[in-house]
Parts: sequence; structure tokens; C-alpha cells
Amino acid sequence: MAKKVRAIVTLQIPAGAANPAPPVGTALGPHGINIMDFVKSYNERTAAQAGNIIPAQITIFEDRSFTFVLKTPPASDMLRKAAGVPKGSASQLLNRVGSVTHAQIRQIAETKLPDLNTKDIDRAIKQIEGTAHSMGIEVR
Amino acid sequence: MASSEGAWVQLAVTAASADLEAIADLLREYAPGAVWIEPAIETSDHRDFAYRVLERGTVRAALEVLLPEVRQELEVRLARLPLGAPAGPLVTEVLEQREWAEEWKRFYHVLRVGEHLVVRPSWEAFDATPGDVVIVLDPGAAFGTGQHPSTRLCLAALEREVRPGDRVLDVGCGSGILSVAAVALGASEALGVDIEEEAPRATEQNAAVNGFAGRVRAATGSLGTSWPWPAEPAAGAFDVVVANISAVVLAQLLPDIAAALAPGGRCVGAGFIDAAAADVHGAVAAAGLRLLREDIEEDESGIEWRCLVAVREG
Repeated sequence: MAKKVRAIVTLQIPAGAANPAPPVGTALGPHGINIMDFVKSYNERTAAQAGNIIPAQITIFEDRSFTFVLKTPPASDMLRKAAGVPKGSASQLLNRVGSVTHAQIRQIAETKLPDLNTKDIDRAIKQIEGTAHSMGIEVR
Repeated sequence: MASSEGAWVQLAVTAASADLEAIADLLREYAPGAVWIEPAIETSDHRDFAYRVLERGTVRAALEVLLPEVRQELEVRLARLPLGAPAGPLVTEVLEQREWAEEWKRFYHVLRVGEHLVVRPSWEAFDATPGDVVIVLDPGAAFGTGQHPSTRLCLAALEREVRPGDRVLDVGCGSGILSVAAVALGASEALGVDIEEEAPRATEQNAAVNGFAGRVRAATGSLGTSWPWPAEPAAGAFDVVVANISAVVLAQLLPDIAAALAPGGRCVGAGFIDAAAADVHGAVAAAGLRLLREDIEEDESGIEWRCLVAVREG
């Protein structure tokens, strides 16, 4: 294609609930892509996963046409869910906030595998454990 | 729930690519569902325009309010993140209230191409003068918004090459802008093919908006074995074949394009730049076509895009 890439933007937004307001408008407006086209298409494709952050990786071409692929939810979101830790509690300055099992870590690693920079499940597990550790979530 | 009213605060942190996710994780605690990552990329100007992600990128977030004490806490937590390389400072910017759903439209205006062709977004008025050929096209996901030099070169070439009653094939039809223009310029019909699934729908929608439903048809596929219309053979059936693709794909498809042309038919080929011109010219000759002309338009980064017209001698 004569499709030279202008920019790549990965939006971490709630499934099925995109609208033209920020962050979608702020992130995509400056690139001049048809916001409503993106919003409709994203919401259709993610409706079944409502309640999760489903990142969309948008590739914007030189003529401001675009395409996007969906990614798996951020590992930290999956860990919080697995540990039953409420999200968005900004005051939590670390220490132990909760725990997950090894089986849960493996499950998250398997889900995340397509988006990680490894195809090796053991390395993926290590990465997810690392994320859990940095969030103050204990692995038992 | 985010509202489209009022000002927003945008946060930005520049960091090493490998650290962007961790920073995004932190920012999401303050701006749930309103964080995005923009890797810096470098695109090669050769061939199929591969790009690579550079060492540093940016994480951004949008908040309706950022209290000074929250900002302070965020800065402390950012500094404590175990990152591979030091991140840049937290930069904030106030975004004034605006019509977010309309903002992107400022990039698109009435576009005059060649002598008579006019491409108009549906939201802009245009007073046509006699002789103008106006098509309506709203940019969407599919390639072909009129914003690319290569699209404009093809439009201008179609204006010169399409004669009343011509049958036109549009290879890599994208938004359908070229098919729609061909019919507006007098072609009896245009067939579009594209390997991207969503393109044929966009093409037929844009055709319908212009009153050409039925005269512009499109399907997923390409020339050769993936030709989507078994009942309508490609061989020798077209007066004009337009292909706004890449140097590599154009060179690959030129034998099929030549076979699809009726004797005397013209190929409009584009999507390649000066660096690839020699290869494309070689493929044109090898396919048994004779190069008639080539036009050039520079893009905003100074790259020269080319569009050739070649004929199948009859």
C-alpha cells in the first residue's frame, strides 16, 4: 500500500464505552482521524467485554485513514481484579495490598501472552509476577 | 462519566519504550480509562514503508481536574517507579473546551484536483461552476481521504484518462474515492477490489452517497487467484485500471493488470516514490505496457510520490 504510517496511538479505554470526549478526542483529534468512525467501531467490537479496559492500538496512516487492533487488558488491571483490590485508590502507597495465587498468575500470563514481548510462558509468568510485586500484590 | 463540556488537563510523561506500560499503569489510577501511549516511530521511505519504534515514547492521560496535592503525589510515585531509564518530567497542559466530535474535521476541506474535479466533505458547502465534477467524500478508516499526494495524482490521471462509457477497475479501492471519481467522470461502471475487509463496504457506501449505487461495486480480493467475481472475468475487460498501492505490490500485480486491460486500455499506477521508480518502470515494460507519462507530487516531508500512466497497445 501507499500506506505510510503517520502515528501509532494505544488508547487504554473502557470496553464498549468510548465517546468523542477526552481521552479519545484528545488523543485522536490532533491526528485528524474520523472520531465517530473509531468510536462506533471500537464500541461494537468491545461491547461483550464491558467492565474491562480494552486497549486499542490505532495505526494512523499518512492520509489520516486508520486501522486498529484490540489488545488484552493491562496486566495490572487483571491482577487487581484477581486480588480483589479496588482500583483507582490513589492513596495506596504500596506495601501489601492483596494477594493472588500462582494459578491466577499463570492464567493472566496465558491471556497476556499475545501482547508480551515473549512467546515463552515461563518468561511471561515472571513478567506478570514482577508487575504484581511492583503493585504490592503478593503471589502465594 | 466523562463529559464533553469544560476544560481538561492533559498529562504527559516521556520515557523509554520499555517503561511506558508501567507509567501508564500508574497514570490509570488517576485517570481511569483515559490513558494513552504514543510510541515515537521512524518510517523508512523505501518500499513498503516499514516503521520502527524508537527508544523513547510518551504516555498521556486526560483528567477533568488535577489538584496540586494530587499532582505532587503523582510526581513522587513516578519518581519511585522502578524504571529502566529515567523518565522525563510530568508535563501538564490545559485543554480548552471544544467540540471533540468535530475537532478532526478541521483537516479536511474542499479539494480541487486537476481541471474540473472537486472532492468535497459533506459538511462543507461548495458553489460549483459549470464544468466542475463534484464528488462528496467524508474521510473514514479506509485509505483514500484525498489527503495523500498519491490519491490526488490518481484523481488527476483519471480525469485525463477516463472516457465516457469506460469500464474501470480500481485495485486497492480503499474508501472508493477513485472509483467514485471515475464514474463521476463518465465511466459506465467501476469495480473495486481490496484485500482489506472493510474497504469494499466503505467504497459502496461512498458510491451510494454520490448516487452511484450499482455503478460502483466492490469486493474483498485482488487480481489473479483472489479475483472475487468469477462471473465477471478480469481478462481484457477494462478500459482503465487504477492501482494506488505500493511499488512492491504494483510491480507484482502489473502482469495481471496488463491482462485485465482491453487493447488500448490504460493503467494508472501509483503509490510509489522516486526511489522505487526504476523497479516499477521495469515491471511496466516486462508486463508489455508502454509508459505514457508520469506525474510527481511532493508530500509534507518532501518525498516525491509518482503516478504513471501506461497503455496496453492494441
